[in-house]
Amino acid sequence: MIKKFFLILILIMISFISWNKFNLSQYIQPYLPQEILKDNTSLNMVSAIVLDYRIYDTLFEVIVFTVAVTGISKYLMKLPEYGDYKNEKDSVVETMIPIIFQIIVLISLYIAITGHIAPGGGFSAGVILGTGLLGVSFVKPMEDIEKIFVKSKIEKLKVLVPFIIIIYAISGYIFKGVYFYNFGFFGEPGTLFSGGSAIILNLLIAFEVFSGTWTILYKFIKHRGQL
Amino acid sequence: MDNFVQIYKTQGSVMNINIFLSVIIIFIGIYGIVSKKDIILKLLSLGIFQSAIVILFVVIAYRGVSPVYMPEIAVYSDPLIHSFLLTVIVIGFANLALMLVFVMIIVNKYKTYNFDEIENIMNKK
Repeated sequence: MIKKFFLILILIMISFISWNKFNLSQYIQPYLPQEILKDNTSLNMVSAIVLDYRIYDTLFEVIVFTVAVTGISKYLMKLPEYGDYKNEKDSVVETMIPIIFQIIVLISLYIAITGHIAPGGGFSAGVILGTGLLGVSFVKPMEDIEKIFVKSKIEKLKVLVPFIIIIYAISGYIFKGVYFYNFGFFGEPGTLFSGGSAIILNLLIAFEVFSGTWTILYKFIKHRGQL
Repeated sequence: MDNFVQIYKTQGSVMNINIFLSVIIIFIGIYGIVSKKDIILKLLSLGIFQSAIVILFVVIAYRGVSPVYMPEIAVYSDPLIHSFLLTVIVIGFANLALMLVFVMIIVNKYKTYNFDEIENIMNKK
């Protein structure tokens, strides 16, 4: 019954789309490229929108991400841990991952710093770095990773990032009268010191997403065997 | 430049095919969410649904050139939609992980993945 219903629904939708040659792309762009370049001086328009025009979206996104990751680490405490951990040794993985990891760290820092010039930004940089650490967990024993994880206090530090962004917002209000006033470098477009405070915000978001991704991966490895 | 103008002119036909395909993937996702009995497969279908919506919006924003400013180009893909999708992807990733944790708790408690069995056990209590 459900299958037939969905099949009919899909057929109706598809026929509707093929009959009406509607083109959703024909609407006016709210932000013009030349205006973005003049206002914000960052070449990457997505970065200009995420970190300047629509920064409230970014702030609440960071908050939602932080809350979700905190929830993951809180609720996983209730579940039992996976006891026996044995690393199966593989010579290719053991030689390649330490080399690849360094390249991954470099690439992610590069992407975070040049987020306003080239495609990239904080979110992708954080995810790249977190995935690099997943590779390290193939090679190193779990106890070593646990030591690094606990010692770095990254679970607590990551909660500070939304507060730092809020302090940035309030300092804009105090000094210039507007929340999220874009201080920072307004150099020649295309150089490193352009795009307002894009570098700082990108690095902050990269740290936040990296710590969140690392926490998720670490906790899932630690509590694996549950599903 | 001529090449780009050509892409921009012919995008109408390309767009319709891509919208058509992404709508099919959206319905594959919805069908999975409704019909599957396994909770994890339900969540994976939710992931497929979300990815299909991301594809749909990428298609809507598409105008041939990525939104990074270059002097001789006038029309770019829409940066506003791209910035929304950035949000959708990151939050989707975090929320899918959180939902998997809840599934882990449920499975640990009821010792089954099947949605109907879990409902039966809960009704008996």
